[in-house]
Amino acid sequence: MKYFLISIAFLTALFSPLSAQNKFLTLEEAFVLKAQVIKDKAVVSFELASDIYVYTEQVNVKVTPNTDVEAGEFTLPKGHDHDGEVVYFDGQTLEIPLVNKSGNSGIVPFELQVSYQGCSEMGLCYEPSMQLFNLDVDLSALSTTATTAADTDSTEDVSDVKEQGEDPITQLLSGGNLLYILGGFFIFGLLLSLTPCVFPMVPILSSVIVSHGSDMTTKKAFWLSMVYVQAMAITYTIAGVIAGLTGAGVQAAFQTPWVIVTFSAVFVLLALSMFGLFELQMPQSLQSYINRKTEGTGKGYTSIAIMGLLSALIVGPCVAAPLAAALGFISQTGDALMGGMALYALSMGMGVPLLVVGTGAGKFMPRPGSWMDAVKSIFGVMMLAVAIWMLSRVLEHSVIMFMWSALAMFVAVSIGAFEVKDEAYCHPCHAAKKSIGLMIALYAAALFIGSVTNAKSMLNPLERLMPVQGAVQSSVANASAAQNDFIKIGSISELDRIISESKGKKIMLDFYADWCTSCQELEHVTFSDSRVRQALSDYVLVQADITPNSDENKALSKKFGLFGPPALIFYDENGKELKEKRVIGFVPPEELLAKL
Amino acid sequence: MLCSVSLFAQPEWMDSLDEAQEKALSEDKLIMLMLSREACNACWYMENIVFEEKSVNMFIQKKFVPVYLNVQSDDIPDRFPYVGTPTFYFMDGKGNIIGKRLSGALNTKEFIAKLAQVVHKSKELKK
Repeated sequence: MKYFLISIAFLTALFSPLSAQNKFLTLEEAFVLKAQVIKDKAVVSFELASDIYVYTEQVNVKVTPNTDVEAGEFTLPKGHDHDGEVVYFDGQTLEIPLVNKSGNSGIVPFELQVSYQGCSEMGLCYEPSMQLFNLDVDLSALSTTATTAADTDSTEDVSDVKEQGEDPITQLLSGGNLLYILGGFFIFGLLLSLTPCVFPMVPILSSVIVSHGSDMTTKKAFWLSMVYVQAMAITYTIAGVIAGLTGAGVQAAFQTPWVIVTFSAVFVLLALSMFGLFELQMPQSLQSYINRKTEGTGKGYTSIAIMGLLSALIVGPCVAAPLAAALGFISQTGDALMGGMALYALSMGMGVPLLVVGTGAGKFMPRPGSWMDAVKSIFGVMMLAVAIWMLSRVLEHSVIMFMWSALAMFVAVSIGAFEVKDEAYCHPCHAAKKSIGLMIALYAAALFIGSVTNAKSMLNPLERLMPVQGAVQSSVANASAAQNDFIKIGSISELDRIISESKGKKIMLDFYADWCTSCQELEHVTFSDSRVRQALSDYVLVQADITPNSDENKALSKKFGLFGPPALIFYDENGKELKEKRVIGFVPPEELLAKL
Repeated sequence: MLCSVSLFAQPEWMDSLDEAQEKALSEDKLIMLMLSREACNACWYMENIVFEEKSVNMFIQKKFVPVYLNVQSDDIPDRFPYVGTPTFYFMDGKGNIIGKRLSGALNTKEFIAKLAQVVHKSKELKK
């Protein structure tokens, strides 16, 4: 694929009406370098003429051995993929920290070596070059211990958790439309008010509120109820803010797998309480204490407000778990402001039935019934969903997909997809529930298949079954990720060891890096092809992951004269490299098969 | 790198300039010197796309003795300076450089045009 692209690039670039002679820029015109010392750093900037690119890995800055000055550690800015190689298309600025290694002071001269290698898209690769800069630095401005330059560091944090916040829910929470979040929490609160412990109490609560006022009018009733709800909201909002603040403080902890697993376990427990396995609520003693306090006959808005404030604390069994879940959710985001706003929206939602009844429109409300238990179950499912979502950061994709399929199936069965009801039951409702349930069950089945065939997409779980050019349906059987079959190495010594240990077997060495998109193509299109897998079955498969870009990684690439992945190197049974079989860049299954 | 994808014809590359000169003189041909290196996209393009073309190969076979030198591993005489790779030099059998060097890759059509230019120029020089 890579070379196909290159040929296209050249065919278009070279098809100029100019005479059959290339006019290329000189090295100095193509790569314009500047270097200067700013306080404690050597700042190197280079500009690239148009159509010029530079190999990221070949960029290096060194200080010629000097008694007083040496270069500290720095990281190169992230490059871009160019047909499997990592390059810079535009100029960059590098900040190299300078370190005072002698402890002297004063201004001293030193020599900076900047090396690079690049090519022109028009069809010429410049020789590796180096420019020297004679600079001066004031030693007293330097520190004596090397510190890493944080500025040029990429934004990837080293963390145990993969897929940092890339899934849509995290995106929604971190940068998403606030309106959606608040809307969601409002509905959440509304649902909370429809639970068996809250909903039937609403009329009673309403009459209690109204009895606190004198000369009742509809307007006054409304305002009394509103005060109650607002007071409740205050308590919950504070709780939301606290959750956000605590979350912010322990953000780092939320990245560690064990914390995430524990958290999801908590959510699962909360879900179980929703399904009735056990009850979670504020201690009864505390509940009755607060109840007594609010029974006072004080008139007016103040007493209503106090009622509201305190009642928020009497979290009964239906509300406790979802509320805890909501707060836990908020603390994950670490956003106190959003936490407060979300919980406020939640309280408003919770207050809706109360306001409705308070204004005398109670007769429009549905009557309490067994449907309220369904609301509890909805919460249970929601909490399980959140638990799965949290685990998706730490567990394998196929495992997560399996969990989703199980949850979907659970929902389908609960709705009644597979139930047989007697004729007395409302037929249309039954039919509707059953059809919806069955459709969910079908999706759950698709997800199940997706999880065992290692499909990557939730929306396309059957992708592994789709006929790929020439591939037979045995792709379902040969499902495990190609990645697992490769021995991972990162250095020449590891490679040598494997070669010596594998005498008598053919070896295929695959050069891979996370940022190399062609490698992904190779894995998902070529390595996953059943015929390729078959042909590779008697090979020892080794993968050199050069993502870390350590010195050993670089030596390994250099050994084979590679600029970047992907590359496939083949060894025969005696450990000798079969140079003519080498593959650089992406190849489709048919091509690779021809080589094996 | 040259050995990698030779499904079709390739020029019969020599690796010694002296031997090439002998051959060129005895066969009354010109010399085409290619300076190349490993892991060079532009070089790869020439080697695996342009030099696989029958038309290019026929032309080269008739008129040139092709020489391939790797700037990383071979000694490149000073009279063949290069800014990058691939770079082509064209000479007569005596080693006199004909025309300007060719820096960089060209597509098939243009490369043949360049070869034709060189042949034309060599005839002029002979007169």
